[in-house]
Amino acid sequence: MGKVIVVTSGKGGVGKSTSTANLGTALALMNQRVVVIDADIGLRNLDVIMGLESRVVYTSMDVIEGACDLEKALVKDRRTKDLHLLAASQKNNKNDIQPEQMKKICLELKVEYDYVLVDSPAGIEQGFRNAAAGADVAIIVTTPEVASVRDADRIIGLLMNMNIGDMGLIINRLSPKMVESGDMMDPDDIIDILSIDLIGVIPEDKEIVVSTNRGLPATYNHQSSAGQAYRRIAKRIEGEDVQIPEFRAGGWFGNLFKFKVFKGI
Amino acid sequence: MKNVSHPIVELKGFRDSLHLIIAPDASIEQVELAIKKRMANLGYSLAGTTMNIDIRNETLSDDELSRVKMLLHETYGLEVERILDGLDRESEPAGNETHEPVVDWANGSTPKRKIRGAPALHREENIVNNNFLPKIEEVRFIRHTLRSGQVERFLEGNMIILGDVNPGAEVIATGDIIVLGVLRGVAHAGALGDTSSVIIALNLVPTQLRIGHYITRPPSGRQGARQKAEIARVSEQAIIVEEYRGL
Repeated sequence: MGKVIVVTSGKGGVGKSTSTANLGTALALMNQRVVVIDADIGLRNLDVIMGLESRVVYTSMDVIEGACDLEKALVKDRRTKDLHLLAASQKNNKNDIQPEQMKKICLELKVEYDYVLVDSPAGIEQGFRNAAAGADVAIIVTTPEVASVRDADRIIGLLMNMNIGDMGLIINRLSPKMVESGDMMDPDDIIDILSIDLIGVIPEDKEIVVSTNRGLPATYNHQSSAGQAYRRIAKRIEGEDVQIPEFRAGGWFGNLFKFKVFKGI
Repeated sequence: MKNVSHPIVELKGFRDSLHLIIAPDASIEQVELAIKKRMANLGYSLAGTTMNIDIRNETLSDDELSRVKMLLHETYGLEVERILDGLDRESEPAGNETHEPVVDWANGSTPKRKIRGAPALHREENIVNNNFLPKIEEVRFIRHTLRSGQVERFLEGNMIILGDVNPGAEVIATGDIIVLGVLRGVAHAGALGDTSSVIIALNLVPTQLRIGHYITRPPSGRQGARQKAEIARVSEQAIIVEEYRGL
């Protein structure tokens, strides 16, 4: 039996879809059987980020309406073995799906696959509730900005009310230089407020823009620092003990942050 | 008690909601005036709180009651949930059994509530009536961190939070508020106007502090961890914050 992981943040534009695409790819590259689900009904873009847009035929809406089998609706990623996408319908909206329906899909998928990653839409409304409905674990994505951390805190409270207590935090787009000069929130302060385990830090990386536009997740690019960070997170999800290098201007130091690292989902 | 005759309106806290008790012989004009007077200092600070109106007997017509509801809702943001009239005012408002028990501070136990439906005695009344007895105060414990968007009200006494109060979270108590953690959000002590209430936190870096009708925010630049526990209280018409060295 696999695990369903919802990737969520509250705030938009902090890197949920990018994180989902990259973690899905990284886990599949580690020979795991992976499905990524785009739960952003009506504003789908996970297919674009993964470069699978032109191959989408069926969506989760079609599965729910009974127009096709779940297995048939999955788009297979040809670059990586065992990486699949369940796309969102672009012509419906979030209220057209009920949490129970989403939960059913997740339950069915996790029998066959090792990881089911659900890309949550922004917000705290039904779209989020649908995405989180079937989740065993949540990955919270935040950027080192006050507004983003505030929204992540709200989401964590809501997830706890939904009895999803297992959570890992990704701090995305950290700029070591700016942290050092005091212009950006320190990861320590973010963890102090959110008080959940850190599962990884993604450095600011221009390569991400290029990779999302091309539909080729940065994980494939061994030169990309963000891609490397996502691969480390995938290893931590798999239970490997991988240190979180402290990102500093001018290079990394082998040090760990001083808090507990989320390990093994 | 200060005077024998009933005041026209009385405002009492009951768990996380409010009771407005309207004297039986009052006219609508008197009631509206009395509400405005009672709420004068409180303004919109209790907005979002549910309220039950206790009209002792049916002196006010439905239209007049609607006027009272409208006033409470539009001017003070209070959500009127129930009207308790002469017939069922002895019955407890629905759902009270499910509330978390409150701890009887003096006995250190969780008491069975004896006065059904009636709000607990007001603080001052306790002192006046039982000044030869140890002071009984109600305390509500919150045993987790309050996150953004979470609001905790206790309108019958003091609140102790064993955790943090994060930005965007709010705690409201009619008495004191003690945070055994970091207070980053909003705290409102003395919410029914008791300006002798205090707010204490191990680490006091709030978005905003309110005590009674006083509001303050930290001076800009005050950020990061404080080294010592601090107390906020009202002194000379303003909220002051200082290192906590006992009351």
